[in-house]
Amino acid sequence: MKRNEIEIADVEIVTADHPKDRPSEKRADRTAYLVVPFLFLIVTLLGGMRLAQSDNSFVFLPPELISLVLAALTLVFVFRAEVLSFSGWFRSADPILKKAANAAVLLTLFAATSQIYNGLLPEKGMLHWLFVFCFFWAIATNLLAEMPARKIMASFGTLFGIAFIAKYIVLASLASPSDVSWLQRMWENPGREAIALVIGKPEFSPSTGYIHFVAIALYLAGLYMLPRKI
Amino acid sequence: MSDSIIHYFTIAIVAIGFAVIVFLYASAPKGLSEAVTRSQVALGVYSVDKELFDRGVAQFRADEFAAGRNSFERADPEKRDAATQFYIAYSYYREGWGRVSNDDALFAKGLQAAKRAAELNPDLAINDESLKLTTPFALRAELENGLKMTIDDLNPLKLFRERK
Repeated sequence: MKRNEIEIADVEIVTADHPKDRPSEKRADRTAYLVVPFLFLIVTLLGGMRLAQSDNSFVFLPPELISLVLAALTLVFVFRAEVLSFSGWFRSADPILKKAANAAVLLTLFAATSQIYNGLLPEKGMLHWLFVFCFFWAIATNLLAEMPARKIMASFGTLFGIAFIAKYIVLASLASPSDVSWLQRMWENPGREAIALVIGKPEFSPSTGYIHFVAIALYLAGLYMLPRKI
Repeated sequence: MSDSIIHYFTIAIVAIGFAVIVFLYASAPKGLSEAVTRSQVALGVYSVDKELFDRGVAQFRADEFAAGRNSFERADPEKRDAATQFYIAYSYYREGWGRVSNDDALFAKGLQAAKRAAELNPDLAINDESLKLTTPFALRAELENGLKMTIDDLNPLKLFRERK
């Protein structure tokens, strides 16, 4: 009698440990394969999009090389810190089709990350390089510090949040109406114009910020939905 | 849904998504309507708006050249129809033509449109009795001659020439 109970218990343990048989695991896998790439593709589209200051028409800016470098470093960091497990995403025993699908999902993650940097970096001027330095610094610091995945996600969320506020709220306040002459602007608000001259004035409509707010929200939601192993 | 179908679906979503994004960034539409028109061009289903084209021809015949051009440009926003570009060029020619001297700025714009029409369809021949120049090459030659400064410009008989 005792022996039978032990056998049944063993079977139950084996069944529960198999990830494919857990409904929650299956649901997470499907989300990762169907919802997450869609979210990251939307982010990729929106990340380089701006609205022109004059008539709010679309302007599409492809990512600069520096955005690709920052995105690559971020992915290296994400795998190194085990936010995503490389061996969990590319198991040698998996069929090629699954590996290709996983690579496709990660490709969308890379594209979305580079477009997030594209959207957050000021287009030119001194501030562009200052932002690049800050991003490098943050990634390097996080690489050295051994933090749990949850804290790393929070750290990236905060970093993106600060960059967003700096670019789309603080810098956007420097934008002045384009139909007013430079002399008039200088006469009316010399401080603002002087700062704008030194650090570079935003070239796009302030409503661009709304697009990037949605992009960052979708990106963070996509990151949250990505399972560590698939 | 089996796992392999989901994987195929993921790869398809990603491939189509990237194709759309690359297309949008390469074609750089300024608005949603322009994005739709460019997609039609890419998919090979683009065509001129017949109603606007006919209205443009009627305005052109009534010597309302600016209004006619406006209709033609709206009928063919992507500048892909040779006949529409031909009429745009002709409207610049007729508006810019002068008995004593031509308007070079209008002729230059007309020349650009005539070149576009010739590139789009080199065999184009317009069947319109109100026109004396019926091919883009003839119109192009007329516009180029109008832009040139020659000794012939001083010929007083030039005052009796007719607009084509």
